[in-house]
Amino acid sequence: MSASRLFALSLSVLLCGAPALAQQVPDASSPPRTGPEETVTGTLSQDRTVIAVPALATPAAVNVAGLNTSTLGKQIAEVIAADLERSGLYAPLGPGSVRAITMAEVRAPRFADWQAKNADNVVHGFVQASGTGGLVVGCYLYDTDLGSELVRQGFEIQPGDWRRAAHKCADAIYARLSGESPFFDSRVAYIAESGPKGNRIKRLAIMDSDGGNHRFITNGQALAISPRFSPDYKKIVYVSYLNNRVRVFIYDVANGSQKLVTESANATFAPRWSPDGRQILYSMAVGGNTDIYRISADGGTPVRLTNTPGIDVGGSFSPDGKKIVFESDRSGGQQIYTMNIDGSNQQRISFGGGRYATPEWSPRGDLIAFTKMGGGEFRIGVMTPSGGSARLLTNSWQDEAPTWSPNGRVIQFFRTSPGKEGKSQLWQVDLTGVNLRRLPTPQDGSDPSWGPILP
Amino acid sequence: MAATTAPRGNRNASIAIAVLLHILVIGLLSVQWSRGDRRFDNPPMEVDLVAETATQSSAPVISETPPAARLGEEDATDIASPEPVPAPPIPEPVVRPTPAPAPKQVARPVPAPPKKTPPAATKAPPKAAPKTPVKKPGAQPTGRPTGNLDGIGRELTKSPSKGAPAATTSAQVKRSIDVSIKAKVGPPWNRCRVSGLDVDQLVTTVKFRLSQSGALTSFSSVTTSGVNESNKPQVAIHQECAKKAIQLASPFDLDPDNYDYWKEYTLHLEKK
Repeated sequence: MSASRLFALSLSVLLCGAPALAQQVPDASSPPRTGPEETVTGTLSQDRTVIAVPALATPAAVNVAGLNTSTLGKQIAEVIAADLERSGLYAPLGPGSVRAITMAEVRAPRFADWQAKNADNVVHGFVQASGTGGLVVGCYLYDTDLGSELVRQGFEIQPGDWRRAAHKCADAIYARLSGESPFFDSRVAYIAESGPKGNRIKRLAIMDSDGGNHRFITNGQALAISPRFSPDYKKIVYVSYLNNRVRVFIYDVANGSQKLVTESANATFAPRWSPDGRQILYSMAVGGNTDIYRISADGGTPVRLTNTPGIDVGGSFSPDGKKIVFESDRSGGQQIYTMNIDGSNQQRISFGGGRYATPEWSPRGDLIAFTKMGGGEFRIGVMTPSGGSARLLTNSWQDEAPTWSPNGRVIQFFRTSPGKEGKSQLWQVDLTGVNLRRLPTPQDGSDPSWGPILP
Repeated sequence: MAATTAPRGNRNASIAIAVLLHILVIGLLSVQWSRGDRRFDNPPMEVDLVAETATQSSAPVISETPPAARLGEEDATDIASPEPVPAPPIPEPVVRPTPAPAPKQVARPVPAPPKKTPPAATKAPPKAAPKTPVKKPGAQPTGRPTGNLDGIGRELTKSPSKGAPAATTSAQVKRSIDVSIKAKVGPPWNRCRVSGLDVDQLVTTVKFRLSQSGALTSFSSVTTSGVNESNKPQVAIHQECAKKAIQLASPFDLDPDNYDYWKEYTLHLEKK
């Protein structure tokens, strides 16, 4: 959906009860006074915040492009509730478990009703025909304890984009309540796998962050691996293997065409976009030595960034585009290194036991996710860019290839179960190590790549 | 003769001077009496004390039959009078809108919890009678852990002396006040969810002011320490939760006699 088709009616998110970031200025009229002080220590509970999400109201149930506004009110509420539930932070009471609301309640909630449901917050909204063949969707978040409005957003959309409006509402709610940046209105590219293990069909596929709007991009004739969305979502770079030819393609999502970036008889891996979308990193094995190269997204002559003996693989740009994190076995086993984008100042940052692979820099810049190999297991973990505070987030037989949510709060990866019939499936986990859950896909899945928030 | 007339003249002059001085004294006294109001303006506390003492001392039995209506008026006047601390503008609602905020014109019993229903009796001892501990039926210890902390702080913090200023609030009473405030803020603080990496390192310090009725009047300052790159997104939520916990805990049930101690309070809120 183009940006022009989704208008924020209220660009200013109305943070009526917005967090006051130390805005309070001490009253100068009173003299300084050392008053009594106490410390209140609460518990970091895993209890989820209860949010009531009744069906969105409609002033008149009408059909717009074959969609009934009353039915859409319930469907949008269901998507909002599912998004919030998937975040792991909230326990939504969806439209199936709470009463519907009237239009009058949208801006004047009956807080006592929702307090009686033990709801900390309540989401109200409406769906109505826009008069130009589209829909207007509005959503409001309220604090039931304080009886105050926390945030509101409104969108004029084409009827077919109602799911995006739901994701946008959920994002506004999530951002307001968690303090994090939004992430629901985003997409995931991954490799859909089918067939026996020795003869897998691997197809490039994309879907919304909740698994909706799933679409296969390639037909499986060539083996596709390592997809990555461009920062503007318009393109996907991936590696294609066909008849012993290894090629890096850029697929144009809008028109379905693709452009060859580089072709080689040598094994080529892990293409990655630069944050500005102008360059691509990739790794190539030549004569038993694998190094990292940088090439313009328009093609041209690649620049070799590493030249040490051994295998230097991968590469993920820091959000500011100044650094690259990659893996290398130059010290014996696979470890994580960082370097400047011109290849200078290469430094090892992982020193724990075992081996480290597939590093990915967080969009927030504060952490690097990796696959830790040791003891016969592959696990997902994070560490700071200097290599400190390493933590493992998963504990399974084979978890690998982490990719970050747009807000740097959730990590997606793929998990392979052991045995000849072992499946590969997409999973995700919260940065705090909780809320581990599988992301449903029509077929087996691997190599996920989470894109940024949709423009 | 001249010797005799001179003294007579002097006597006459003395009499005239004495008469003039008397007239002057009377005149001056008259002038002062006509400006008596101004003299009593300073200091106002003397007027209050004189008036109160005169009224009460004229009653034959002071402590046994307090004029309830009179005391009730005084109580209402206390609530209606301006707060001792000028409240700065509040940037956002500090009192829950659903239960109407305690208006200054409303007498204490209306916004107060049910146990405060006999306000005249509650307020009477410190005003009209020598301090005699009056136990409220509702505050009797039952021996059962009900979890209801309402009123505990008020009972515990009851000062044994009349109108004890902050300087004379005993350490035990102070501790009781502290415990009462913490107990009231704890549950809503626990209920507000803050999630994220390193949020256990955040400590939000809220300095706030209370009215004599124990209601939150304003936040003086809200600051957070322990911030790093990972928990930075949660700072605003941490602060919001801290403020909300205090808002929901208000009004605090504290003895006004110790108001000078708790009128401005600072809480450090953290989650571990």
